[in-house]
Amino acid sequence: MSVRSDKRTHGDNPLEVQGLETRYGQTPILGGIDLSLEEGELIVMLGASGSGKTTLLRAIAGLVTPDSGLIRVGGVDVTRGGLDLVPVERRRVGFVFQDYALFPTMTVSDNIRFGLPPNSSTDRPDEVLKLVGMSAYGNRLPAELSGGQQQRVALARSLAPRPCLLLLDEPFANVDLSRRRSLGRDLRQTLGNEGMSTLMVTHDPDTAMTLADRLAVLVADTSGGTVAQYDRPERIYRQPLSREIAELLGTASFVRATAEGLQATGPLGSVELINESHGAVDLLLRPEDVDFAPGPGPVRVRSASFYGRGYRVSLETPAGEIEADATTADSRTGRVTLRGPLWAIPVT
Amino acid sequence: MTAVAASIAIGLTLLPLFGLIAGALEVDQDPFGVTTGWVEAIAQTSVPQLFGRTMALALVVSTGSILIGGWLAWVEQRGRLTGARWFGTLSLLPLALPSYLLAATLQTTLGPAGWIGRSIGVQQPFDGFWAAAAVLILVTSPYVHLLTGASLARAPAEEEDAARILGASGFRVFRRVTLPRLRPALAFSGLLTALYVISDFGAVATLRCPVLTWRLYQAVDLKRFGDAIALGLPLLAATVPLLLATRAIHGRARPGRIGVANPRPPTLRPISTTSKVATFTIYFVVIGLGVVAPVVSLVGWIIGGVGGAASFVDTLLPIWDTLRLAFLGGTVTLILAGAPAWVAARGGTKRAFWVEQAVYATSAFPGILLAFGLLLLALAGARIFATENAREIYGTLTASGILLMAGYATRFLAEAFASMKTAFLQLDTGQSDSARVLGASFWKRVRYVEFPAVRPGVAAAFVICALAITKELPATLLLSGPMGLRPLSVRIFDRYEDAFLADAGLSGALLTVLALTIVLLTLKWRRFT
Repeated sequence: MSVRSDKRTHGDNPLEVQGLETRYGQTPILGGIDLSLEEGELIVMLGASGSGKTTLLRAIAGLVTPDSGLIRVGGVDVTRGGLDLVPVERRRVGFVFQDYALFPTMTVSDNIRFGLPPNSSTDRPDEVLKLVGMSAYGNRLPAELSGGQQQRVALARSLAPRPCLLLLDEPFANVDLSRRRSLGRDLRQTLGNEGMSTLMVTHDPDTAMTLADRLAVLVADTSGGTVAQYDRPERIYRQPLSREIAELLGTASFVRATAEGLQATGPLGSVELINESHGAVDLLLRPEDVDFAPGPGPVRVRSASFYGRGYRVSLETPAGEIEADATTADSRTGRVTLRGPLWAIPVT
Repeated sequence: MTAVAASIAIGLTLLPLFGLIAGALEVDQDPFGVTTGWVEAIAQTSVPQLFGRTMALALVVSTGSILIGGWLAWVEQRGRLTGARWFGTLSLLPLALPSYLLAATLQTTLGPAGWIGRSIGVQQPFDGFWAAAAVLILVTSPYVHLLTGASLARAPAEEEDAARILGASGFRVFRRVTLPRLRPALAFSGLLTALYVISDFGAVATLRCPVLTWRLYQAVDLKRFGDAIALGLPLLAATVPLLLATRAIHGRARPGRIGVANPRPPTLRPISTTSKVATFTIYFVVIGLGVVAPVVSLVGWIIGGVGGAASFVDTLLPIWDTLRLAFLGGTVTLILAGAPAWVAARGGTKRAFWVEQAVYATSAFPGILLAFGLLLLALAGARIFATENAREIYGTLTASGILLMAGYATRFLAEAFASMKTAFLQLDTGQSDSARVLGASFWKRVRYVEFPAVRPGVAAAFVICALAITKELPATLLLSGPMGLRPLSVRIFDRYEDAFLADAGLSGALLTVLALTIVLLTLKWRRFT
């Protein structure tokens, strides 16, 4: 068992990442990541497949050596300028892998004890098992558990040594859509009880928005992934810095308009703006920003899909195609009004 | 179909065993008087010592192979080491060499007169127990290397990463996480190695290491069948438990991967300087002795022969015998393996499982024992069915080649079976069904859908068998003589024994080229499956 450095001074952020770059051969994966996490905070990093999310987590854990940049965990520099200063086994991070990576030959209790120093309190395994609601399963083998139970054991195992930072890689990738919400709620509560600072990566915007205190959007271009926006989820949903970010968070339509201060005018009429803009802009329309009134009118319904509470309709308007919510799918035509204030993205 | 498959698989195993048992039981009624006296022979000859030495050799070689092959596999799969891939591939090449050829070339290289032996001042000839152990480790460690490497490559690397993140040292990760995953592969390859050693004839005969197989051959060669039975029974007794253990371990439920697979390549870790030095020393020795020394020796023998009076035309003739035997033997083996492979591929039933076990058991018996068993069977047959002219019938049987073909089919059934089973597994019932839905007739389906799907596998099975037959020594040595054939393998063995090095060298070079082709084809085939 390694000796863990405990030089951390109070008030240091659990995680600090500056200018982190990694390449795979000649291909840049991360193109300068900046990120900081506050004590007890749950940050979710949202990005499309292949944007470098997992690579970022692996670099923080020490499984990948970055080419440049700084990573500081609990106030200790662990990686700087392409050199690993603290090896994986002494970084004091917890990591829950997408496939959980439970040790198949050890029982649940032995899995959890694995990360604890030999002289540690004997209560800790029971304590963390209780925390995740798995007290009754200590003597089981991982293969005898369901996917959701395995995930909770993996969580308990990484919490047991009291890491100063927890990393979660797509924790709900192997869980049914219908169970994600309740598992997410449990997870948030567990992390809250432990006061754990957590960085989670996912490509699922619903998970990201429901769980995150703050959301970091990872966008990749030819020079690698960077944090394109870092803010509260509702703010990124309403006020994304680009069309790409807007689309990552959920259904989004855009209509071209001309802005003049807090007012914009376009083919669908005049509307109030959230942000002061001038010249050509793209107005972000979430489905809830559009009122669709069925009946005679200039707008044609191209398609409608039923999703339970109502219909998501795709509309052909003089300003282009937009998506809106509708209560019926009977009418083939109608008219739309925009509900301001709207968010304007400057046209570049 | 299952019945046919089972009778082939089980029948081929039982034929030589029947021969051995018949020989052992009917000692008093033998008209030649050659099988008599095996009970006395056990008491008089040094059978217990031979048995002990055979087991000791198996233990030493298995241990050495596991250490060398396991270490190299681990370094290559988990360590960050420049050149490991190239050296790793080169260190697998001894796999291609027949053990008698490696033994012969190393004996001339490492002995007092050899170019390595002379330069380091060796006084002792390279032979006996430890020489045989060294040669057999060189030949078998690639098997351990390949099997363990494949097992490491399959083991989910995230488990090791998770252990490290939880603070475990490199050694603790290896002991608690990696080793439990590897244990079945290590045990399986260790047992395979032990079986190989017990069965080996070429290396121990060339290096004059007195073990059961070599003494058995000598006894048969001198027509002292009684002594041979006395040696064959303990050889059988040594093989059976190992064989059962191998079958029990193989395919035993391994701890599965937990969760849904999203495999990432393992995290390669820098390795210590000591480990690097150790690894490159092993590469140096394995490649030096297993690849460079044999090639240099063979070339040296040939060059020496050009200056001398060796007749190369005479050496080229055995190729024709080798090719004939390989073609015939390969065809017979393939035909016999077809039904068991089909049953196993369609399998799922308990019976299909046992057919597969029987096939592997069949091919695991030592070649010398199979060949001798077949000789005894022919003898028993001649005795039972033709008491009057038993001697002629026996002569006709041995000269006809039936015995040799049965020997090859028994010895290489598993090789043909494995490739053909893989080929039959390529048959996608979905494709056949959609061809049927599209209105294709039975023949059209076979011609355009099913046959093209199995063709590469069946061809590979044939090539693998034919070339394995080319390398085979003990059965060929015992059974091809009465047929009047002198294939390459026999020629190398005889000529080396008689110190016609140039002649042995040319045959050896030809055989090496053929054998390397097997390895390349096998590796290429493995990539598709």
